[in-house]
Amino acid sequence: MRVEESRHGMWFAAIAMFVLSLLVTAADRTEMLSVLRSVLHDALSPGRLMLMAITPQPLDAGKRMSGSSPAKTAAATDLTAEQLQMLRQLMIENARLRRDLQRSKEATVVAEFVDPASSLTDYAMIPAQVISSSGIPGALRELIISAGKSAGITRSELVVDGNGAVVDVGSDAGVAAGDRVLSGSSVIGRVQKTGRWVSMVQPVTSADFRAQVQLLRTSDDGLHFGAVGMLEGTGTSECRLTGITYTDAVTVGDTVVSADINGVRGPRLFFGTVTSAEFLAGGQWDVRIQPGFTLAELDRVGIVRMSLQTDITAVSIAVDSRGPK
Amino acid sequence: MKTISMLVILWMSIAVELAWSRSLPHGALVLPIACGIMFWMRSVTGILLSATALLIDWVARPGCLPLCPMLLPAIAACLISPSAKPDDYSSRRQSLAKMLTPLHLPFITLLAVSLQLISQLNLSSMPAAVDIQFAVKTSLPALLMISLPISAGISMLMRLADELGLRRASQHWI
Repeated sequence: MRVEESRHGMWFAAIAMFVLSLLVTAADRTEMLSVLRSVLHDALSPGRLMLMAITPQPLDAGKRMSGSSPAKTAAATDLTAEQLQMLRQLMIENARLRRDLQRSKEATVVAEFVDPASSLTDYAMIPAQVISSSGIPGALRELIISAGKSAGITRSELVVDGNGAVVDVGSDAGVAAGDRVLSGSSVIGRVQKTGRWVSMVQPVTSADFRAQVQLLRTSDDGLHFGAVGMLEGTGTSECRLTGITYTDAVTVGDTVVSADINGVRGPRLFFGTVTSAEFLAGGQWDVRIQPGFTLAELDRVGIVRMSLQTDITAVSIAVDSRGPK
Repeated sequence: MKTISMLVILWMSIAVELAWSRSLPHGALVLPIACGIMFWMRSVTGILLSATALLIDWVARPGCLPLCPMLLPAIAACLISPSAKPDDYSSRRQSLAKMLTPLHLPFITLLAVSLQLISQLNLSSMPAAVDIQFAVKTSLPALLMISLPISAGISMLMRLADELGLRRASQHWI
């Protein structure tokens, strides 16, 4: 009798787990598990952080796993990624220099007012590791990264790919407060929720994602900044660009970079490339953008943090004291 | 006490996988340990604990479908549920099924690994042949290389515990 009870109990448990799994799958599809996922990762974080603290992880451990020949391929891919990033940086810098040159010519007639906020803001990148991602490779739904409130992460901060840094030089390299920061880092998304040790990232492809962007166009004369518009996620693998007036020119292959970061002029970050631009009958542009990152590359990311540079006087004094005597 | 110990082991195994996610494939540690706990406890509590841990792992790192927490409890129930037939101790011959009992754990681990790989494929449409080939050629050996020795180790540990009388009589293999 006891044997029968035990057997029935096991089968009842198995059926209950099957039903529970189905319910959890349904909840996941309707995005009801976001909060629970963040809480779970926070609950698992003490053990994870403890293990990471006692065992220093090599930076390229994952890449070395694939064997010798794939490792060479990975190194080659890294090199290409670095070159691409450098190219993006140069493209953005080139366009900016051209615009600055044009402005300085105009300055003989019109006085140029410098945005006072730009000299007060400071940007830094906080590195983080991707813990988990949900969704299919074509359409990333959610991303959980290993940095939370304990690292000072707050909601709506931009998340970029881990290649390169937004700020990689300091006052030792002659960079002073007020210098503009350029970077070719690709934007992955924005911090949506922060836990104690983890944060949830809303990818650029998410239907609720919005960011002000600017087109960067290559022409025979070089690179030029184009129209400013709003990048919107579509819930699929691509994004949409809205707010482009019918008088503006858009071409396939145009680069899309950030116009500002949370309303403040900051580093130019790479969002993607225009893959299709159709002029609709209603006099509007239907512009589609392919984001500049792939899910397979996402294992390390960076969070762009903006802070106020309050000790400008101290920095100036420090730079002066190091100058030639 | 035993339940709490098992909970801690499961929690730590998920934490270890998360901490070393770049060198440990997803499920390489959690799957053999969860299967091992089902077989060690051989009770409703064991099945519920392990399946819940697998479900929590899926919520934390979602794939297409939680096939492991869905199907593994049923497979485990088939293998570990007590038999209604009394053991025939008078004859010394063992049946083939009983002789293969120590291999049940590696077998269920193999099944769990296969389910894990299937659940990682994009099942919303027919998976591409390249994806299946990649999963079988790359992910499966990487997973088995870690999970099978662990399940074999747990299997031997259970046998040792049986021999030393560290498990209850009703939980013995033979």
